[in-house]
Amino acid sequence: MARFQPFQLNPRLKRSLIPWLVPLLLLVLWQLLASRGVIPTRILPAPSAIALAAINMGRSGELWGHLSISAGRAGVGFLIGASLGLLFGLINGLMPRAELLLDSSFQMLRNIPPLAMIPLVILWFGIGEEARVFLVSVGVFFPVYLNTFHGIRSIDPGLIEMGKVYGLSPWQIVTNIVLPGATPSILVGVRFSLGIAWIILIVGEQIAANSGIGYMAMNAREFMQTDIIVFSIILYALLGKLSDSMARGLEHRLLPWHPNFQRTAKAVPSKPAIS
Amino acid sequence: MLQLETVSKTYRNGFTALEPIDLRIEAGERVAIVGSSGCGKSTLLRLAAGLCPPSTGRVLLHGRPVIKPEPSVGFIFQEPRLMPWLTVEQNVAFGLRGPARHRHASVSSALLRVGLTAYGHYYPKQLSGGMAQRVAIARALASAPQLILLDEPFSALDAIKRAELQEHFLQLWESEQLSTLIVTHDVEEAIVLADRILVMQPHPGRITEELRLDLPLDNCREAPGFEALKKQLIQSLRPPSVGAGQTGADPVPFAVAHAIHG
Ligand SMILES: Nc1ncnc2c1ncn2[C@@H]1O[C@H](COP(=O)(O)OP(=O)(O)O)[C@@H](O)[C@H]1O
Ligand SMILES: [Mg+2]
Repeated sequence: MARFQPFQLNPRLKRSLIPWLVPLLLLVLWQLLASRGVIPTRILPAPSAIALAAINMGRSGELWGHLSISAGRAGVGFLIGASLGLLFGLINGLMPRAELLLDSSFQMLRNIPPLAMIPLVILWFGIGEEARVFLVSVGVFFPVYLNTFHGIRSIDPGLIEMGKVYGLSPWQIVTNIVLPGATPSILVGVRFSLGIAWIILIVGEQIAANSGIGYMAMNAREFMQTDIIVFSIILYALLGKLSDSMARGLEHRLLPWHPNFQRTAKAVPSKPAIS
Repeated sequence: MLQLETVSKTYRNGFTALEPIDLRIEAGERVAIVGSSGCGKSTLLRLAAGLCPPSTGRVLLHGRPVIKPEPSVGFIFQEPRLMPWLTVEQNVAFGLRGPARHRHASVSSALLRVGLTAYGHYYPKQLSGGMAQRVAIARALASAPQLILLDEPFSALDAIKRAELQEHFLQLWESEQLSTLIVTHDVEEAIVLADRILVMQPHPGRITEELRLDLPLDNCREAPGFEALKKQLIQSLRPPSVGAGQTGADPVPFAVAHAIHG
């Protein structure tokens, strides 16, 4: 007989609600302070004002224009940089000779922060699309390259020997053992580089652009529209979180065997080990 | 069945891991090679499997030279070496060829023989060490080999699990009539699992002694000659300079430790 139990949430629901508690409280506090004039609107507008600005921009269509442009830049830059990173990671990981030839050059280039190249990139490409896409690609390339390379090199040589015992050809060893074994590391690189893509894009759009969310923020500064500036910052946070969730989803999908992503608890054999 | 003719191995760095060795294993025979760590046991086994080329001599299987791994020879390593991204079933099927229906049948029957039918969909990370090693045994059995090479297959397990798996392997051997060549540093394991034991000495690796056993197959640990045989083998494993003058003078526990970790 079930008793009526008020305030008894199921534990899973509770676990997913509790992390929102602190942000919610802060938001309420912020709203109170702002609407009483403790925080001047010029410094930080109330959450309600920001929401209003967001709705207005959404209605006018301005928001969607900037948003899709930024997402497009991040996406294209990511695709180019990640493909090249994957390609060179595979080549250098699989072929020690290629590594000897290329790796030290990559290591040298890696130490240049992509944003330090902005002046040069503007000279090369002007402030057109290529400039941002180029910067994002460069930033994305290295994490993907390094993690792919590292993933390949850290494969247990015992597994490769196992493949040889079964007469696998070098190519079969690559497709059956090396690639699946390196996938977790490659995905770490992908996830990391998605974060980097957004960071580079923000700065790139603020300095040299006439569209995109970064431009939207810089433009708002000219007109002292603090609400839009704060909204742009929130947008970046949301987009970063969204792409991170997508990368995590990919990990769950591709790595069902990985202990970090196993949904069920570690299975304990219910039978004696020797039957 | 398997024949090594003056097979030796000198690694590329000039280190001679194995002096020329002659060895013959007949069909259905169970041979163990005991030797301390680093004496070249794994090297010998990898040569026999065709995983690396000998520096001199040749390896023959059914009279034909072995130059690359043969499908009729199974290999079980010290570690299970399961692919973490494959389930138990997929791991057992690893390397199997032929129509899917046949492969499936081989996998089920191999899992049945090691008693892991219920765990086909588990991933290796979800298994205990002993279970993982049984999956490795099933994988080796699935391709129906005539000869199985084992490289210290149970040494990563605790003593109880090790004894269990040794028994299990004995039963498998009786039902399959496999030829086996096992290398181990564990004298007891050699006595339990083999009819013939070769003693190996390091620097450089060579075979110094050969013993034929006539202990009963099951429960051979309790057989009257077991302890004496164990002592004799431990003596043979000790470096000649130490063993020569003081035979029997050292307390046995020291000798055991020496033989195993030396
Ligand atoms: N690839 C290699 N190159 C050079 N030396 C090796 C190589 N593999 C093994 N050795 C050396 O050969 C000797 C025998 O090794 P191994 O066959 O693994 O011995 P065991 O299996 O008996 O412990 C060791 O001294 C080891 O250092
Ligand atoms: Mg070894």
